[in-house]
Amino acid sequence: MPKASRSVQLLNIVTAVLMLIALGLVFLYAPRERVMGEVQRIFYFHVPSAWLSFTAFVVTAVAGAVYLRTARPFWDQVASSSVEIGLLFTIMATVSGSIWARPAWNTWWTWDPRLTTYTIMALIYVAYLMLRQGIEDPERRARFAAVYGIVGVISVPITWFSIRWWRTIHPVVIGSGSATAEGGFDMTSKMLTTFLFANLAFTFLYATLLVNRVRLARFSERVEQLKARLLAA
Amino acid sequence: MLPLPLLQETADTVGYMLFGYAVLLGLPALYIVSWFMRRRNLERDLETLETLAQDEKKRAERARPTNASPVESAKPADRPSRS
Repeated sequence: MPKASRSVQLLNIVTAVLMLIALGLVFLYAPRERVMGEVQRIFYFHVPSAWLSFTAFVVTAVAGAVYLRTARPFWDQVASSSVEIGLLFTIMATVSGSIWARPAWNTWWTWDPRLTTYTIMALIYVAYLMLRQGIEDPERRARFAAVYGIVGVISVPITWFSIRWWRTIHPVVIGSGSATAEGGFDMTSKMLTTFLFANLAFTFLYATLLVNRVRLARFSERVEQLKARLLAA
Repeated sequence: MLPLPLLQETADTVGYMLFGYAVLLGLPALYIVSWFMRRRNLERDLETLETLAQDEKKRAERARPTNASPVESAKPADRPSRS
């Protein structure tokens, strides 16, 4: 595999440093929440994970649309890589949320509207990967996946607004001051700083993972092309 | 009278926090490890394919009559007759 360019190496280093600082803020700077105790610290990484899972699926739809317009395989690689990373963040958010819910809600899982729509969204994107596995022809696979990614992104706003549209026990973090938000909560300035910094670090983490995953996809494509050429000879 | 939050005792939830962060840090770490494994497998595949491609090239070169002598490569009509 070709060596990473200097800009990619720099991005990797910056992300690692930001993640270490975020961890330092979570454990050393942010105060302990008075009622829930230490488990509340999960919130600082749980929310960015969920936020970036939404972002990743929106990126998939946009990359899919660009692929349909340009037919450049690079955009298909961006779309599929973003789904894989989005699913990683989805699993992280789901499992960490479940661990937080055990002491906070006294249950590991409940079929709350946010949890249910989030699970459906995850399954939609698992099906995206299965669809890709089922199609041999690369061009056809990319075209079908692009259309699926564009249709599938409808699940993102439904999941996002589920805590405002239906009665739920899931807290509203972003926009908790709005009239439709139930279960909003306040943060101290130290908590808010940690939360915002963790979001920044996770955004860099997503970008880093995406860039490196696309590099791997391009390398994989090179191997596949050589294989096809040899088979055709 | 003290406000309600001050009367509540802070729950001991350290174990849940540690479990949560083990997942939040462990999953991306596992994912990145899976990349290294995929990359290693692809590099092995590439090595094998390149060896096969070179073998194929050598075989094709051997089959091509590029080093044949002028007499051998001459058309039958140009060759002197034995009679």
